Amino acid sequence: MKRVGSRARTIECPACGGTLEVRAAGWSVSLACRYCGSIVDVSRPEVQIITAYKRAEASFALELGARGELFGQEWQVIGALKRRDALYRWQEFLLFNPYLGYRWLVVCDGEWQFGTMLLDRPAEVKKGVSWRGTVYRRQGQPQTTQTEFVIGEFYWRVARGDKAEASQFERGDEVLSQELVDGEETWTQLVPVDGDDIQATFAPNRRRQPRAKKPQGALSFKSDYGRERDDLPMMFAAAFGAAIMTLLAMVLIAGPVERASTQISAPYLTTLEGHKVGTLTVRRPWQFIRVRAQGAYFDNHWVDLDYSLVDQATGQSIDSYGLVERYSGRDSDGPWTEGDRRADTLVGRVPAGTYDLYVNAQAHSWPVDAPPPSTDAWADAATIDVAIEAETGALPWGNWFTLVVLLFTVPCVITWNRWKHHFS
Amino acid sequence: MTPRLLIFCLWSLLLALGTMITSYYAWSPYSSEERPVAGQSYGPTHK
Repeated sequence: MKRVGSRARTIECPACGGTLEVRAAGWSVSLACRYCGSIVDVSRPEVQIITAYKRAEASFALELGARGELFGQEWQVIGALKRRDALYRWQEFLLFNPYLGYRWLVVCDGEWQFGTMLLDRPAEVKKGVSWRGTVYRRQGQPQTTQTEFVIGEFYWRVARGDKAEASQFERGDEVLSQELVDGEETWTQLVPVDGDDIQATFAPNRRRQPRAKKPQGALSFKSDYGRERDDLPMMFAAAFGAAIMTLLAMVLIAGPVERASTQISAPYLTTLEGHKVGTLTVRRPWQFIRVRAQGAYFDNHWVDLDYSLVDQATGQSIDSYGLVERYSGRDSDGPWTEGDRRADTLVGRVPAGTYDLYVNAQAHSWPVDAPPPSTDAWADAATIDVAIEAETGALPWGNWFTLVVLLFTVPCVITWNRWKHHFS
Repeated sequence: MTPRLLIFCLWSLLLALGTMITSYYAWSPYSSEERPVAGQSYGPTHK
């Protein structure tokens, strides 16, 4: 026998809130509430609206109509909003006292604040606003907030989906909140209220208090964007501290410095071979050796330098090279120059030991572009003098600069994003 | 300390330790042991 699928659904009685089961949903038009006897028209969408309203009302931390005393005055909850931005959800309760007017009670992430609308507009000052002689500093960037639920009564037209641009300015625990809606600007002063006082006064339902939205994906790294305390200065400080600390450690790790130097005359057409620069001792398990070559004045020439670090104990050689070169000329854009008469060579992974440093050198000429030389450009000098100095314990500056770039990339990207957001 | 600041501090520590370790072993991607292919690096590149 074929089983017929169930078409039952449940609704709440708009009159008493009792749960009613509509067994033939889609077919039934009316239903009597078995709790209060009301006749409910289940064919009308208003039933669903009423149901949604009841559920929304039940999800707020404070009930409409609740009364309590705050700051020595009695207040009644007459309206409630659920709002959110990119990361946070919170609830706002409109309080009313016939002699004092309206106030706000805001709860976000377990913290309660009491809000008073400002009648005088704070003045803009550098990095914040000034209100009644007190400066409040801007916290984060403006956020777009959205109203998710509305219940109760308000002194302005409010609806679900309303959006506002909100900014916050802080001084200690006190906050000035600015909201912009369609060019209209409102300011509210928010002061913290002890959660125990709220519990004693209004007895809120803790389970219905809003919680921070859990950030997901890339947002998990940007979870504090524009909302919580600005940690960007701390990021820059951490990056700066790490860069300096690493540089000091690198100086200590680099080890003792030992130098050797010589002067050579690099010939043309033939190679100066096996000229000994000096002897260097690597006293750490591993050290860098830097070889610096500085050519005397020359132009449109280059000198090839081949270095060999020969271990006195094993005879094994570590090879590297250097190139000093300098070119100049003139074209339609005017004079130009290229190259450098100085060349630094960094030799890495040199194990502990004593080494003899040898250099092979050969000079070359480069024909000048224009006008053609009156003399033979390939033999206009016999040699080029080059001073060579080598030292152990050199610092690998390239490593450190790479570290600095990687350290500062993250805070710089965040700064760029904020700047973009601020001017967009 | 915010979560992303904590993550950033860990990232900074990781980079600093990495740089110190490469210093200890005297390793650098910028060391000049290998000469470029002959004939490619001589003379001006000015056009």
